[in-house]
Amino acid sequence: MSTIKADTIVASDGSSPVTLTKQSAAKAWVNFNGTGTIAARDSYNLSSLTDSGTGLYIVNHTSSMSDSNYSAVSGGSRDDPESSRCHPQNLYTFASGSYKIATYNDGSTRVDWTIITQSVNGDLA
Amino acid sequence: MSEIITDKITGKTSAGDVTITSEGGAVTMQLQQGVAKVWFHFNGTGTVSNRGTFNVSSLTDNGTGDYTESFTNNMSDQNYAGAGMSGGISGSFTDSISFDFIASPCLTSSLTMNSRYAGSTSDTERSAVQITGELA
Repeated sequence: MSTIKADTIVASDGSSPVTLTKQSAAKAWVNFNGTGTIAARDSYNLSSLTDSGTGLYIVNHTSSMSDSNYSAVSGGSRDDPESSRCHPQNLYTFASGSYKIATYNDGSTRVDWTIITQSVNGDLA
Repeated sequence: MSEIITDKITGKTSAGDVTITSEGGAVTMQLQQGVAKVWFHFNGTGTVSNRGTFNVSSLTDNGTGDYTESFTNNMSDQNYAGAGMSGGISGSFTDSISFDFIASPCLTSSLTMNSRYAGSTSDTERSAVQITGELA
């Protein structure tokens, strides 16, 4: 097996992004506590989280995406350990530097979730 | 276009840190942070079984709508990000999938999930999850 050791990989022109054959890297991810004073447990490419009210959050990126058409996938749990039913999260108002999350209980009422996880794929600016 | 054909890329200064340039050229990012560390797609009905996986050692049926996927290589802590969806059995659908991260036995080595329909745990015919975060 051959091994290349390098700190940075760029395209042969010296600046363009390198192609990852048949693969794509996630551009941001976060695991955060959405109750009380919200806080990221761990993250990548996250500048801040905004608490916009009960069950409402804004994820802000450190490095912006190239446009607002990226993909964000979500998961999590209202309780920990999980004991209650909850609806899937709503993700909305996508901008290159941020997007919003709404979390619900089993009805139409927004509630804070203990575990909220996100992963973002697409093109960075 | 030039092309390097190799089997392994290792950071020169730090083995686990290789930097790549963004598509727009405005920023750089750590390649390792963007790579999915675990993914799986399983059938949670009857005798549960994985349809496709990466970095998964086994799937355990804990009861109705309650599953644990164990990892081959452990995550560095319990603060990784899992995202996924589930649904589909006999024409009905699960309406949520939730993750238990911190309560034992959900550890750096496994992820326990509940799928639910109409308020109760319900077996899911298809669940697919991707995990990003840091490996140990």
